[in-house]
Amino acid sequence: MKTIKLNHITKIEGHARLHIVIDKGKVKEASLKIFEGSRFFEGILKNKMWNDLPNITSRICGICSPVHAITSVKAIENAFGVNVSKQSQFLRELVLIGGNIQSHVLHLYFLTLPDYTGYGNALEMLPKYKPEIERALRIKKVGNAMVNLLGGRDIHPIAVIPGGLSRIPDQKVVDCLLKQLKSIKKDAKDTIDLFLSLKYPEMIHKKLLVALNGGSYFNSSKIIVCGDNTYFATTDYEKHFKEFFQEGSTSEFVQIEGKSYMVGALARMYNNFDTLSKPNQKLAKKILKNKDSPYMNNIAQAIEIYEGILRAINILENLQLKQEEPTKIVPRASTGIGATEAPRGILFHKYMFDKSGVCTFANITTPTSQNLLNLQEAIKLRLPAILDKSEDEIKCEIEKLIRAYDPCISCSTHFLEMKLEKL
Amino acid sequence: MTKKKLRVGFFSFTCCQGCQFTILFIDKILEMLQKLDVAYFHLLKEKNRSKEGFDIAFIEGAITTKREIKKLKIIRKKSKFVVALGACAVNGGIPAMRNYMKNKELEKYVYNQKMLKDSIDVEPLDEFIKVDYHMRGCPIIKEEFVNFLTNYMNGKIIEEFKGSVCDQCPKRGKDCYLASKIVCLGAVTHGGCDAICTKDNIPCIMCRGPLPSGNFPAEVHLFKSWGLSEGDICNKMHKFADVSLKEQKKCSTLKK
Repeated sequence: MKTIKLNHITKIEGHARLHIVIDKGKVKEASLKIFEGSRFFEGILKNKMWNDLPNITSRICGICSPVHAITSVKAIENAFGVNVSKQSQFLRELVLIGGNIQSHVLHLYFLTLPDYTGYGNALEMLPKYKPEIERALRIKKVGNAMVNLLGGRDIHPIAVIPGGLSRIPDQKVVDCLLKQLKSIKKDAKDTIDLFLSLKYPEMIHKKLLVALNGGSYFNSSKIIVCGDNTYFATTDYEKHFKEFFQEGSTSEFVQIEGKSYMVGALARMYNNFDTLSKPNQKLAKKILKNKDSPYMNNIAQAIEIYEGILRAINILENLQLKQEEPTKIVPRASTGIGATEAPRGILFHKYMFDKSGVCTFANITTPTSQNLLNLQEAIKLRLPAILDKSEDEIKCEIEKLIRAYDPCISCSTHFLEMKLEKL
Repeated sequence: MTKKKLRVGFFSFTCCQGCQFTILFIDKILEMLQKLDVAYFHLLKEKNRSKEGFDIAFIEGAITTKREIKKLKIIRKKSKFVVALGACAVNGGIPAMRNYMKNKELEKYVYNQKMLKDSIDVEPLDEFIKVDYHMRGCPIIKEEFVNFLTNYMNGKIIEEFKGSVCDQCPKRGKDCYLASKIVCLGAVTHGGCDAICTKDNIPCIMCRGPLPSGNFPAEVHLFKSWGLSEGDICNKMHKFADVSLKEQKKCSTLKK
């Protein structure tokens, strides 16, 4: 019996453990066993006032905090029947795009690229790949600026509140962002070229691709589309999405009608092709031909950076900012659901409130927990092709695959380790 | 003469990792890290080393299990200087909110999720080890990190900000939230954040933790006079810090 232990899968957000058993050259088991010092977010939200929830839930994840805050705010507004102004919706969409850029650029250049250039990390890459890393930093800076100037901070933005925004930025901010966004258009195109040029492992893994639909590319929330021609209302998500736990794991897994599925950039691109801008549709077509390869998610993320920049420029150029107060909130006994496309896929927040606005129940379904089961299946599928390689190479290949899903383990768990057993 | 690079490690316990991301979001981060020997940075690096120890250990996250206590103590032993990064490491942060609910009750609400067997009450780092510098906030402020590191590289350790959030608040004395009966915790919260929230029309939510010199009884008395219950006040004050445990004397009213 041979055992390979990967104690910490690095360069993903958070930690988890993967257990692989090989019996007589065949993959017998590949299971993600996740155990953690849980933070029990859904538990601590209970008995909190409605207006405390966005502040708390944004802390679920450091990299997708803008989208957690916004989804939380949406769920509260849904519960209390509040509509927000068009202007607020645009400003929020810009915060979402900024968060998407922040997350994607970090994942692509700092966590993924070293896999394909043969370096241990971005720092080591620096001497040889200086232009690439500098490009990443320029893009990242603009993503940060969007979240910071419109949301109030780079991480855990504060200005998005139930009813609208706590303050409307002045025109100077719009001009400043426009200038910055235009300055990185070429960088974003170069990013697409770079990630198109990488040599990805060949793999076919047929799966459901699930995304929100029925709005703009970055701000859809009403309909869920899974695979071809299956649609249902976001408010019905609990009927279709079933959460369950695996033995020995403290993170939740999710299935749709008994099947695993993938969410994230690739799924968004597949299901929202029509809302992409023309130049990106052409690029998207290329990678969607190969949509059964999970590695295409990396390229889809690169395209989304460019798409985000184009969309943001479009919004900002047409935005006539006017000062306005957030819509007043009157709590009532109710249930609310918020859904948003986070950088890694669909994020759901569901809350129930009593008549004074105190939260009596909360359920949060993160993209990573939705991807876990599919990722586990992908690993199982990938293993036979690489079993004859050295232990180090197997580790490297599995990590590449895991990182293609861009798991954000801190949303769903902590401490991921990998153990490979050959019987 | 070339000085030996400082050997640093970045460690993460139970948290959202937002403080590590804040560091990665610093514009000149790679330039800064190149001046250091980054021996341990799990989020960024594949090959992490801890054998030779660290000149500085930056630690984010709260301590939630016995296993984490053990690991924390090893890091302390191996490090000359320990910086607690952010609300979770400094005060217990958001994870510490679970201390106010019974474990059984929590498990019931979060589907069938179970507590780890070696779970403990959530605690900040200095419950178990000596912390040399507290970098506060949820998340930490980039400028403070840069300022700290630049000075440390020149042999200086900057002083932690001593005052309250009010000391830097533009609304102070003019349109203070408290004057219009809006709960703002700036007066009893560690300052140094440049009051970024109140500048953006958001009352302070105490993400930098309770200020030991803050007049908690007066604050609680004031909120009660507006009709807030003790439960409401607790919920406001306990978001980022285990106020009742850590600051027992300061807010004895809250404990009841």
